[in-house]
Amino acid sequence: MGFVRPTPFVDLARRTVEIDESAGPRPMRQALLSGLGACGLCLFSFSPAHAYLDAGTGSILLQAIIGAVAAGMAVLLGLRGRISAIFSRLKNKDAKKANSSNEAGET
Amino acid sequence: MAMVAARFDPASYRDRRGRVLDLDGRILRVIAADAAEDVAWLEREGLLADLVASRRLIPTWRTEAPADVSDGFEATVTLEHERLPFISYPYEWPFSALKAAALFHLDLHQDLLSRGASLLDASAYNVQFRGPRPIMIDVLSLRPYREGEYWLGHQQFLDQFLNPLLLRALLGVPPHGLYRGALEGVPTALLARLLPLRHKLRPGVFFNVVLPARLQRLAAKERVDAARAMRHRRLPKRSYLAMLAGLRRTIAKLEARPDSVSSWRDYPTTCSYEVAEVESKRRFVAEYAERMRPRLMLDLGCNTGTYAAVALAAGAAEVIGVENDPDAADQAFRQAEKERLDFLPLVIDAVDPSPAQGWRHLERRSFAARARFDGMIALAFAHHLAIGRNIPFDQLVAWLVGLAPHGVIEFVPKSDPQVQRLLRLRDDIFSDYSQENFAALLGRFAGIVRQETISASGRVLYWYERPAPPSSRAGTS
Repeated sequence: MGFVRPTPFVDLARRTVEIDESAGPRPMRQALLSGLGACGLCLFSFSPAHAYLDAGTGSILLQAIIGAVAAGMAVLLGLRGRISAIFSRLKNKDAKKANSSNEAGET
Repeated sequence: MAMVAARFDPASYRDRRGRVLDLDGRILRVIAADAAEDVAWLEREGLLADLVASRRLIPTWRTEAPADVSDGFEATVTLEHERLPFISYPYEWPFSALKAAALFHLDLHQDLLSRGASLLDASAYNVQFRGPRPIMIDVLSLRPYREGEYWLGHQQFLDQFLNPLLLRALLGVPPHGLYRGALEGVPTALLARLLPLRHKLRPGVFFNVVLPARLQRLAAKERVDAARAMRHRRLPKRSYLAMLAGLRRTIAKLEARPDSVSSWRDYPTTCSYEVAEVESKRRFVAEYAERMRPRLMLDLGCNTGTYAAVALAAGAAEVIGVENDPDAADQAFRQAEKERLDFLPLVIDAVDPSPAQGWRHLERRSFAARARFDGMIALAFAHHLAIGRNIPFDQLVAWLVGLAPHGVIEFVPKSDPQVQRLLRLRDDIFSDYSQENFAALLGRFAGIVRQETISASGRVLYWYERPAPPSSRAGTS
């Protein structure tokens, strides 16, 4: 469950995790490298828009915090989605099992 | 080359992608290649046409590039803007005008974001007024929105709109003098120091003043890195919109805290005139405006705008008001909004008018340099300068007549109770202040078209008209 790994760039980390999920458990170093990769990906995918105007450090930091809170909430919502997906999958599996055993019983 | 450079608007230097120039009275905006694509996009999306049609953007159209633009500037696109009759500055706006401009800016920004565009700055100087209606004049502030981008104009919006409004609304301090002394606006850090704790805890204030000021301090101590934060963190569009909506809610609730020293706001109802006097004054002003039909009239000492409204109804096209008292000007602005008058009252002290300032003293022009009026009224005004402020009488009359080629000036005699009030606590050193002297001085600079005594105390209205300049000199002036 790599997606709960605490990381400063939560939303992007989620993206990396999606790629990594099939790889299974990894040693710590690999995880670190992957984290750096996430940073690289982040730099590559998001070059901040600047303008002729100096935006002001206070305002930028405030917006970074807002962005972090929004991303954090997105992760929590995503997490809830995943957990409920797991439960529904388990439920489905049980249902299937029950169905197939029923079918087996019928034949 | 130097001649061409001189035509560029000296205030148009911040954004290097374009420059504004005044070409024989036409306002052109030359745009470099790196912004031409944005302009083309705005045109393709129909945004420019729509904003102009909804009167939110100054009428703008493409035009031929001027032949001799140089000074190192390579124009790819040239736009022409409608010329505004008068440019005002935010440090001259009454509270309600600054508030209207702020709400206009936020509404425009929200609308643009919903259509895939954004504003890259939030300069109050990019908002101008037609009458009491705000309008955006800078096309290059508009550009396509990029997913995740920050509101880069947030700090500028706070300094130039929110903070001066809060000064007045929370502390009862009219911001005009402070704003005039700090062209980029009232700094957030300064306001944070001035506000008492109970105001700091209001959500809108905490979020937009206290927090940015605190974060700015942390960044100055290098405890946090804003550039790094910006590189690594996006601002979701939802959050961007929520910031704008939050500010809008905060500003919409702000009211000008009454200024206890204002003596002018109640003037129309508490003043000593007889009803008949007011009636004759209205008739005189109406006749003047109807016959002269000024396109841009100045109302000196406009108070709450009673006579500006009379002039507009009678035939004046637009009126700019000058009023020293922020409360009276504010009430005049709200009245103009309510009655949809083409009237913009400004908070300006005639004895200490807005100077030329900013970069090279050329960026924000003085009131005198912008004062191109073709008509004026100065009612119950001159005695405040002559006696209240010690302005020499001959200089005063020369100045008044110099403001417009024709106009109406009221003379209030020393015996009038209003003048007696001004003299209550001082010596009468104004031996030259008399009706005879006024008429003689006026006659020296202009012709007297009509005069009428309108009160028992001896108040007189003078309609003057300056002689037309000799035709041989017309071309050189």
